[in-house]
Amino acid sequence: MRETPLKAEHEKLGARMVDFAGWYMPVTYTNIKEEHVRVRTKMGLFDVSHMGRYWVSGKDQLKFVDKVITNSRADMEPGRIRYSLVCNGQGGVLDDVLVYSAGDEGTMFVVNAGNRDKIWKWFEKERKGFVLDIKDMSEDFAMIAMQGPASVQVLAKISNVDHKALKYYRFTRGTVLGETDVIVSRTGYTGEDGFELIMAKDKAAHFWREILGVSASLGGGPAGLGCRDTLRLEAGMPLYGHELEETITPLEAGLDWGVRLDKAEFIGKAALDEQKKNGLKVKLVGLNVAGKRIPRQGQEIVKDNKVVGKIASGTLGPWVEAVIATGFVPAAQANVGNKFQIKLKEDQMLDAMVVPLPFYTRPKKK
Amino acid sequence: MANRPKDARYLETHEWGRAEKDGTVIVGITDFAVEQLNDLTFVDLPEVGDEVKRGEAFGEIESVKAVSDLISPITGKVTAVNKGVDANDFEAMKKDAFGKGWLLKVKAKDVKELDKGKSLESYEQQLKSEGH
Repeated sequence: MRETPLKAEHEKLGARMVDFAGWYMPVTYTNIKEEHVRVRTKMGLFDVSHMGRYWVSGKDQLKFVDKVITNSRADMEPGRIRYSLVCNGQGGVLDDVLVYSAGDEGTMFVVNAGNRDKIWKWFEKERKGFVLDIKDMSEDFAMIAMQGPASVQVLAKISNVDHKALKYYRFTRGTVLGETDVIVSRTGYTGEDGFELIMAKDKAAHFWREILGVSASLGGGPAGLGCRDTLRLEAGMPLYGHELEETITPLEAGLDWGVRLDKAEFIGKAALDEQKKNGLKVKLVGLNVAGKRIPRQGQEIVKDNKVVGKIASGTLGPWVEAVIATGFVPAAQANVGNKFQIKLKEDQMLDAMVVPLPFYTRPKKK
Repeated sequence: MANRPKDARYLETHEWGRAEKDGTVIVGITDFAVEQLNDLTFVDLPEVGDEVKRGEAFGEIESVKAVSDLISPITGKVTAVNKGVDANDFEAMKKDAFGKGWLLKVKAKDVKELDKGKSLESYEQQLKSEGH
């Protein structure tokens, strides 16, 4: 199993460690509910070093990036970040990524841990004919996410970065804990305000301990992958391998806002144009599930005794205090209020109703 | 770590059964299982009067992450079900897996069947060999 530079820190904190996409990662330090609520109300610190970080530069970087992503790169000012999909020729999703614009200097991709090798190979294949340098900086750097309302106070205590100037989905290079050139972005995967820091690998443990120390008085603490999943699902964010797969298009997953069909060309565009024109056959919906049982990925969604779809994700939302799920159903039946059943097993059905996504939106600041 | 009873018998799947003098077997899951499941959300237990069979599932227990079958260490008829746990209150299981956190009481067909399970020593050996 692959390990992050923070492995020893997790073990020292008594984390329960699991194999996640081939990585030895902390799933909980205490329990999911406690860590989930901590992120919603105070701050949670996540090790996200397992995610891939690729740096693309060279004369043709803009052209290349705009070829491989569904969102638009050319019109991004330096310091901007965009969510995008990387699609195959059929419009199926190879990965969902964050694209960091360093202007003409280059572009950084943050890709899913489970898709690191796939995306690397895809870029290697698609770069032919471009004057380009693609560097894998994943192993030289670590990545830590501070998520939750107290993150701004914590950042103020450890860095010279002005959080007011650093708006949502922007990044900067600042001094954090005396280290220069730390990448600080206002991004995350929890539905809360927060920051993600990218620092040299040998500084990771120092950062981890210092940030935990500073955040303790504000109610912050470590948070594992367990609550990362429940937080992202409440916030209606897709997880690759669940809401996104190579056989699912971004339009079916409700990610139209990350797809710029007005762009001249990108891989998958023709297929997505076609799908848009003909209308969607299936669509991702949010489901509110009656009772205490949790629907699991792959379970059948039933309407009038007919199987019409499949569950993508399900959990007991610790903050919304309800069983919630996502699933793919026929587009004609995807309207809010529509009722389905979920087949838990042969003789057990759960009642579910389509509700708007996300299940949770953070309160606006006064 | 909880004080695991020596007079109970254990299954590889982390259930325990302990015989009372009157031939009733109390069934539960170990502190280790409770800790592993961690975020418990739901339990499905049989009803009083139902038959359970050694080595077969008598119910399910669910956490945020997964569902697991509950396997019976004994064959017999259910005479009592822990009402608190059955109402999805898991505090007793977390605090006292071998006492207040019991799941079922079973009128055993043959109490000796319990001895097919592991001794405490052998169960703890298993945990050790699994790296816990």
